[in-house]
Amino acid sequence: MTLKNQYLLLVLGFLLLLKFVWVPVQEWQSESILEIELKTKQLNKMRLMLGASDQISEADAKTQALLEEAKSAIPTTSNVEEFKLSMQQIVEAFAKDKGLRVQRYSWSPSNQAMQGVIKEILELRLSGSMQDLIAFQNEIEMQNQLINTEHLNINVTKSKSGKPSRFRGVVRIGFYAEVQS
Amino acid sequence: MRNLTSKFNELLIHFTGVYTQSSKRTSKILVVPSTHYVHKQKTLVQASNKDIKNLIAIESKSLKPKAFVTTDIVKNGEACTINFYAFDAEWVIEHAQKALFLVPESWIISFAMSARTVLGIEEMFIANTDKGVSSIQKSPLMSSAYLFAESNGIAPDNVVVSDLGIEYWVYEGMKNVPVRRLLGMFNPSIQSALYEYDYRPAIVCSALVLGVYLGLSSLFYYWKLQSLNEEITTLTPQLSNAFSSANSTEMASSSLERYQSLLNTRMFTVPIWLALKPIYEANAKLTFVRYLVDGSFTVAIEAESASGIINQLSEVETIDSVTLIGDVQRLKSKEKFQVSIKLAGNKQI
Repeated sequence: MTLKNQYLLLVLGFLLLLKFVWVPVQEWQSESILEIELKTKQLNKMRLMLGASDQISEADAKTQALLEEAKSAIPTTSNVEEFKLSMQQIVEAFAKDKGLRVQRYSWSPSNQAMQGVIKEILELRLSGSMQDLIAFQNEIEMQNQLINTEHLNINVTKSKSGKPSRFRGVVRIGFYAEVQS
Repeated sequence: MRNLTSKFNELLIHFTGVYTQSSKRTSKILVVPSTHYVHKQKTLVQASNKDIKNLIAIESKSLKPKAFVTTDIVKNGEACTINFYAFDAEWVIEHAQKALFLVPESWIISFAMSARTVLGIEEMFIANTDKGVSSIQKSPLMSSAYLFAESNGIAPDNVVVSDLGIEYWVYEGMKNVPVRRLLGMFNPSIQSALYEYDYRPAIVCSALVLGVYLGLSSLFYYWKLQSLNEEITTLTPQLSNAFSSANSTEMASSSLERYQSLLNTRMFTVPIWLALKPIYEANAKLTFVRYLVDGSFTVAIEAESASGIINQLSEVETIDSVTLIGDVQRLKSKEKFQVSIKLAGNKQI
């Protein structure tokens, strides 16, 4: 074999090494570098998260407490009709207690206040003294439960003594409840 | 003879003054004429292997650089004789690039002939004396082997006249050389000397360096990936609590936001009765009250002065705005009108 042929063989060997060893290994190394960068970032995030785990737990506890407080304003029910009945009984009891006369009541169709929470509206036709109405409203709105006066439409008639004592009108009250399936 | 020669067709033989075979550059064994090598002998009375190695290293260094050095070690009890043969590198490369064994002619012939004998062949006479092997070409002055034997102090009985060529005697010498001593003539440095000025060593070195770099860097990346994976695997269980807390917080925050937006819709109607206090004080008549879910109140009033009532209502802190709606009707000494009232905030009292 001549020297020239040996050189050519060397070059061929070198090129084959490049093609089948160097290039694949370099490609593997490039992929490894990318993977290392990604994993380093992931690890840094994990370390940050571990460092802040106490604050995260504390924030979670606070948020959960706030959520529970917020949820406590909205009763939970699995039976809407039972809920409506109990609310109606409460309202009737308040009205009776305050000396108001309930001439008629009716329920409007249910509304979805938000996901999982319904709003039931009770319409009452009432009459009585203005003072009793205010006391009744105060009683309703002092409840911790979320109850909204949706609508109030009253006509006031002045008594002979000169004070606006009597009314007749309609009150719509909204009750909110979380429905459990 | 032809058969013998054909068996040694890889053997290239040069003999002093006699060119016996055409040059074959692929010959693995080269018998070198004495004109192209230097012989040096060292004797150690008591020699360990370490001493021998050191001596060879020192002598080889002194005989280089332009020579290929082979050694022939002859041990006799504790004593040791080392023969150094320094071959002319240029001559060797010129005649046999592939030669691995460089054999000095006097050395190989000494194995073919008995001690203190003279060999007479076609072209020359060779004497194996106590001082070593010497040869001379036939000439008119030196035409008899016996004369040559006498000049070398060898008895005529010890003259061997042969019509065989030098190749035969070299072959005879080869047969008699102990393998260990023949290995002493092994010299692979011819190949490296040949490529002293080519690029192959550079290529090999570069490939080696690149290979080492590639291997080490690959090992490093592999180790780094493994250590990262291990660390992530170790931290993952510790993170599960933090992740569950974070997820729980996120979900709770989202729910809380929705609940709070719902709770913020809560409106209070009781404060309107306090806000309407100026109407009672002015002895006005409240005839109609309507509250809508948008938080506004519409109130129908009969009073002596609509503007006076509106002014008074505007000054109430809990009222944000008072707007006259429609016309003011005049009824004898009274004015009948409607106002829209918006409470400031919507605070429960």
